[in-house]
Parts: sequence; structure tokens; C-alpha cells
Amino acid sequence: MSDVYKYIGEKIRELRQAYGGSGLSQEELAERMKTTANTISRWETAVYKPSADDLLRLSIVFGVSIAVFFPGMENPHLTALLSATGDLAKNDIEELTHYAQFRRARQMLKDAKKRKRR
Amino acid sequence: MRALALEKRQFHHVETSKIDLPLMARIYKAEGIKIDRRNLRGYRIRACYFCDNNDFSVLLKNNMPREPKIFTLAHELKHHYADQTTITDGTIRCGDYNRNELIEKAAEVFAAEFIYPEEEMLRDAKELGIEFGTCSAEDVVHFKMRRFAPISYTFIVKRFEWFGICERGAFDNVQFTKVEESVYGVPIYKQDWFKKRRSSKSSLSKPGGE
Repeated sequence: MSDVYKYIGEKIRELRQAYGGSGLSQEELAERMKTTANTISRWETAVYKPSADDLLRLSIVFGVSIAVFFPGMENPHLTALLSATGDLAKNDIEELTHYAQFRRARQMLKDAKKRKRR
Repeated sequence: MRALALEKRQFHHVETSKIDLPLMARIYKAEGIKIDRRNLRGYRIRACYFCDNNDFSVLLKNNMPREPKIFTLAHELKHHYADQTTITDGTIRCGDYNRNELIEKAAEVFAAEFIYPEEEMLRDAKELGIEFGTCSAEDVVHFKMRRFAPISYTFIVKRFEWFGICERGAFDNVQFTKVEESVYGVPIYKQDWFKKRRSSKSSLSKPGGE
């Protein structure tokens, strides 16, 4: 499990330091995430484990897909049924893809926790 | 589909007058389905049911009114009960709206029956004296305002058309909210004095406000 969270931590640091060319401090990122700099620091060192919702919020702040926090996460198939009013527009497909990636991320974190318990 | 809806209603001890969002959330929890609420930008998607690796979830458009939200949650329940295999083996996919049309229609029938069984609604309509062929827009409004079930005007009209209480398309150009306001008055939250009070309160609570 630590490998998954170590990778996530490194990715958070990488994205934070590269943000907008000049980077963000842990305090600045914490402010945008409405959390504390201590939490950001501990995510980066894999002491604390960010949830799928935390990663989603981070991905929104950094303007990237949640998939970047998981090595080799492919675009999940959209095996789903939806209540829509007609054919989907590009925006709709994008939103569904983001959600499918979020689900996949949640599953991967759950699996990582299960492995640790064993 | 109607039989399945009635069976599931019984299983979850659903009473029409008690259906609300917390009850739907409890049913989802009991079924092991997660609800992920999002403010979706697109206007086409109301909800989406996903299932794979024994993980069930529904993406729900949060920015819509209560009644369609309840209906949509009931609609997605049908996919959980009846369409899991079709989804997981890839027979149908997102966006194939026309190919999914039959499945979607069945889900609409399920949702309608789950929320408000036909027999119950017909009985309630009779109780209010709404008769075949004499139904007016005001009758539809009175029916909704009795709050037998958390349903929209669209739901009531479609059901009344199905029952033959009114003709198909008879209320196509009716704005029920306006009829409601003319019969029952403008709701408080729409009245000027209330709007003014709310805006003055919110300006006071803003940082820097007096």
C-alpha cells in the first residue's frame, strides 16, 4: 500500500512545485484545499493517506485528471447506464470519463487498504 | 416492471407519502450503492449508474429540484435490479441512447410505480373528484398541492394522460407554476418583502457588512 501512497505523495509534490511555472508553497496549496499545510506535508511524505475525494479536489486545483495520481491508470470504459435526454455532447462524455476515473481511483485506494490489512 | 417496483417497495417498506431524499439514500445504502452528487455542467445527464468489480455507484446531478432527483434515483434503482449483466458484459454503453431506449423506458415505468403506484394514484384522483374527461389545469395543481407523493407536474400530467383522465397533449402549453400561484398565491420566497429581507440579512452576514 505504501507504494501507492508514496507515488501519490511524490506526484502531489511534483505538481505543487511545478504549478504555474513558479510553484505553490504547501501553505498556499493548503489554503486552496481548505486544509492545513501540515496535512499537505504529510500527504507528500505518505504519512497521511488522501481519500479519493481529496485527490479529486487536488486534481481540480492543479487542473489535471485524477488519473495522474495512479501509475498506468487507463481511461476506464464507460460501462454504465445513464438518464440523459438524448445523445451526449463532448462535455457530457468528459464529465462521465472524469467520474469513471474517480471511481477507479476510489477502488484502487480501497484495494490498497485491503492489501495492507492482510 | 411494475411488479418488480411493487415488490421492491414492499421489501423496503416504502410508503408513498414518506418518500423523500433521505429515504432514497437509505434504500441505496441498504442496496450497497454509493451516491456521488456532483454539480454537472451539462444539462443532458441527470444521473448515471455504474457497476463493475462488485462496486455499484450512481453519479447524480445535484443541481436539480427535489422531485426529479427522487424520480431519477428510483430510475437508477431499476438499472441496479435489472440491467447489471447487460452493463458489465458491454452489451450497452453510455451514449447509445437510442439503443438503450427500451431499457430507459422500462426504468421510467419502474420509477413511476416505485414512487407512486398507479392504483394508489387513481384512488387519490377519484378522492379529489377528478373525473375522466373533466380534468382542468387547476385540478392538476390541486392534486400536486395535496402532496400525496413527491412528484412533479410532468409526472402528474403523464399519468393522467395514461389513465385517460385528460387527453394527450392537453396541458402542453400550461405553465403550472403560474396556475399554482394564481390559485394558492405567490410563495413567500418569491415575494418582494422576503427577497429584500433576505438580501439585507445576507449583506449583514458578509465580512465587512455592518
